[in-house]
Amino acid sequence: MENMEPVIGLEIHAQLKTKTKLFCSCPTEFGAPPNTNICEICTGQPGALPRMNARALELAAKAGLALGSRVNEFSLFSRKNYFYPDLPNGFQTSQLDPPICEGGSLAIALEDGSRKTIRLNRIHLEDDAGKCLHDARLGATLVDLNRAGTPLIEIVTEPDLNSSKEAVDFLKSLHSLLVRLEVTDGRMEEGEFRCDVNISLRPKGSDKLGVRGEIKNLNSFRFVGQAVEYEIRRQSALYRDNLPVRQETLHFDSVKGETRSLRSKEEAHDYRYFPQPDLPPVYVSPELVERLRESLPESREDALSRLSALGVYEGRAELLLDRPGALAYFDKAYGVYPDASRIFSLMEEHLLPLCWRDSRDPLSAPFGPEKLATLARLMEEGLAGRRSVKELFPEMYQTGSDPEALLKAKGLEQISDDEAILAIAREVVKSHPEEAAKYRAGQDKILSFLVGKLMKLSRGRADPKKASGIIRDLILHDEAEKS
Amino acid sequence: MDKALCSLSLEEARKGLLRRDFTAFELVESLLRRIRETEPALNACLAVFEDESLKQARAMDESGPDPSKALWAVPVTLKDVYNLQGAPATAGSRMLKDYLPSYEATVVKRLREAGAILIAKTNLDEFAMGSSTEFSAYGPTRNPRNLAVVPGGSSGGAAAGVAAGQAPGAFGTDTGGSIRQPAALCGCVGLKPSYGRVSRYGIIAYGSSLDQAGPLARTVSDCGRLLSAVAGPDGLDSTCSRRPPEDYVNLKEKAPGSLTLALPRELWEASFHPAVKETLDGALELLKAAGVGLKTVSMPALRYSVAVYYILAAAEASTNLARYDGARYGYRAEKYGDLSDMYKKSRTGGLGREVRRRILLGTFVLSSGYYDAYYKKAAQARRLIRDEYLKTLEEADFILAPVSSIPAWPFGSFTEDPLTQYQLDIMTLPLNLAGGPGLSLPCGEGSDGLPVGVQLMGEPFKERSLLEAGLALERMFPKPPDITRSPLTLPRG
Repeated sequence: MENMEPVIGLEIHAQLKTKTKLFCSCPTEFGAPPNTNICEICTGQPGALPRMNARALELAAKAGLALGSRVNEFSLFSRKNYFYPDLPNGFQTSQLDPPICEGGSLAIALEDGSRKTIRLNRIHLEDDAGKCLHDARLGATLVDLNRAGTPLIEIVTEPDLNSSKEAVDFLKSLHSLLVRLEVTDGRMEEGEFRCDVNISLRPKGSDKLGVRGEIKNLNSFRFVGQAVEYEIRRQSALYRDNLPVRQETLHFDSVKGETRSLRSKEEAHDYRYFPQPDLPPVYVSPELVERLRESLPESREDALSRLSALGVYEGRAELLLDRPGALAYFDKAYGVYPDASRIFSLMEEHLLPLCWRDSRDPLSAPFGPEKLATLARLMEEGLAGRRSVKELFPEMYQTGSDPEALLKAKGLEQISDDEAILAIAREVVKSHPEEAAKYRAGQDKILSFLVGKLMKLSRGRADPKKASGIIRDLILHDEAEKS
Repeated sequence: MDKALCSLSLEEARKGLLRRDFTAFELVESLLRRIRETEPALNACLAVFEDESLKQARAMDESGPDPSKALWAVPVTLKDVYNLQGAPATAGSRMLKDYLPSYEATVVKRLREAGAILIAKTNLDEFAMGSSTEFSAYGPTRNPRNLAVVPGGSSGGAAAGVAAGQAPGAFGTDTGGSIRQPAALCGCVGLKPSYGRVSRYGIIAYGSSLDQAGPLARTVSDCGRLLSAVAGPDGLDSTCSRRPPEDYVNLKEKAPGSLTLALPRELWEASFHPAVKETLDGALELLKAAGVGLKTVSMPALRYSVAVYYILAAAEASTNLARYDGARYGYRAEKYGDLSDMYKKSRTGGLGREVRRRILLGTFVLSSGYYDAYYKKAAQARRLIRDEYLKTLEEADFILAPVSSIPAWPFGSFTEDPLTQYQLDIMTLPLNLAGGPGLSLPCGEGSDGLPVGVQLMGEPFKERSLLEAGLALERMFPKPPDITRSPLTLPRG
């Protein structure tokens, strides 16, 4: 179907980074035993009423401001009615008209290096449902309402995307932005960032939209890519064979790698939206907008070019932008000791993998940015070697101990004193006379063997740069002495 | 002495308690005895807390009177839509027969803080949908003034109990007249506060934008005291006003000559039952004679109120009641096939006909393709009614209207004719649509011996002034006969 082009729009659900739920004060933490983070409000008990979480409102407005949306001074909650056991009230509390934010955009980079602007239609607030778990042993469906009432924003794009790659790039870029803004933690494996994909095909050059399929609830970038690819192929085949494309809701089976129909347009829910009478209009004051605007971090583009100017390699600097706290950690460490590339390397190789393993914001690690700056300085001054850093970093990360003191205590301070290294070099030459002779005879490559022996003898503490110079001088100097 | 305790008004009971003329225990005992004596005829109570009330009364007697508490040791009943821990909250429905709330309504908490003794929960039309208490899953309540007729509703148990001397005060709810109309049909006083004056938190919802909790009692000042214990902002109800409450206890009766009342032609020119008509005419004569200014006004938007109310209330109810699906609590059908079948059978089995009728109506008016024609139009018409209401109050101190065009009717009169029954609500619905406060009080009895009521309606959040005007009217109108000691026996046959 060379003459058809895909048209893709996304609806992204991001869980807001609040301590408590959207309409009650139950914690939003993930992984608690089933039905422990619940109360009369989020379980829909008779007579319970919602009350708005002000923090959720701020985060939604903040996301909108960072995406260039218009933040409405007044927006309304509506009830979206449908029956499901994980939906305690029999309705979801969402926003229909007007939502908290309208318009906005986010750019993605195309392969030719140009940038393409993807327009946003709206951002609205809503609460999440609980979870149904089918228990085969009991032969019953169990309901866990811990997640019920968790605050979400839904970001709806215009149908401006035209390939699976564009869709995935857009999602990655949006994810990274929202995480950096601390609007969401964005843990996709926990469902904190998931998306519905609307996709249709149309003849190239046409401005009409074709009949669309909506793939629900994709929670990984890879699945989005696979699902879009599959759906393009499926719809293309229908057009090719002159078969009707039906408007339907689809589920993506990530095991089989294919989409499957959940319901057709005719079976679609009538959600019977109407204004939620238990909540007054949502008010975002101009003062709040101003305060949020001032609190916005620098844009991704600005941050990357700043890091590049500091000497952090552009292709890798994104690492600092993809998860919350990393850039702030970097900036703090850099403020203490301005060696950007060394600080970046320490974070990239040691700190961030450990933080991410522990799902921890780097700023909350016991090994704070000042300590990392100290470690960078010790390395620069030759007092800490790569090997000892590698060996000791996990402990420093765990305990937050002072790097200088720890190196001393472990006897792993780098040996950079020339005399001390020379003494070790003498030992090496003495015990490896043949290799020394070969080097003298012009076999340059054998030097690294001798340096290796020296490092081993020093238990890795000798400054490797100095070591090779000293041992070379020693051998050649001895030669000179002998001749 | 004891024989008369159940006849005391709330204010009299409070004074006697504080003076230690009698103990809280004696008062509660007397009321419990009256409940036991009248319940076989009335069926006004769905639960009576005998042991707890007596225990609480004894403890209060021991610790001694506390005049700082507005309702110290005053026994009060609650319509069975208020969540109270330790007792089922049924809403008069089979759906919630065994439902035990995990938390308490703000009104309940405040009543406890004010020292009230909660002695019983009262009968109602299922989920407060009805105006006769015939739609309770636990059988109808009878009118203590004539056991062959309904007490009105939906707070029928509350009104019947107060009139019959089961309690000096009660809390009901009023979505479209459910406090004012049973008060009128049973011959007692009922106050619907402004929307947002009393927290709705913990009260089983019917129509969220219309529901309001309020008191019933045998005097106007008792209603004021009951309101004072519960009114005011509540962080748990976002629709509850942040405006501080007024003083509803130290009231100054208004001088009749200073009052101007607006009489909406659309309500006063309705067709009335002759017994009601003659009583109302008599009441108007009494007002004129006392020097009250009466001004006939036109409020043309009122003719839409029945349609507007039944669209909006049903729409809200249809989704408020969606939670009763058998999945998490409440009634679940014993046998069912798939999930959808479980929903259908549980809801059909757990909810009564009138409730299902309103859910269907509400679901219809919110459906895609009908929303604009029904819900949206009704919401616009509601604004017209409210604007007209407020405008009328610029030219008069209060609006005066009848409460019901017919007296309490025999059981079953409208069971097969819901539309006629809905039409009867026209007198009371406008106030809920406008959001103002209204006070229903007896103005005499008809030749059939049944009480007739009028209602005063005022500006939102001006309950104090409304109560003060109510005191003046109460003095002018004949008091309904005291039946708090009358034997109530079921007609034979």
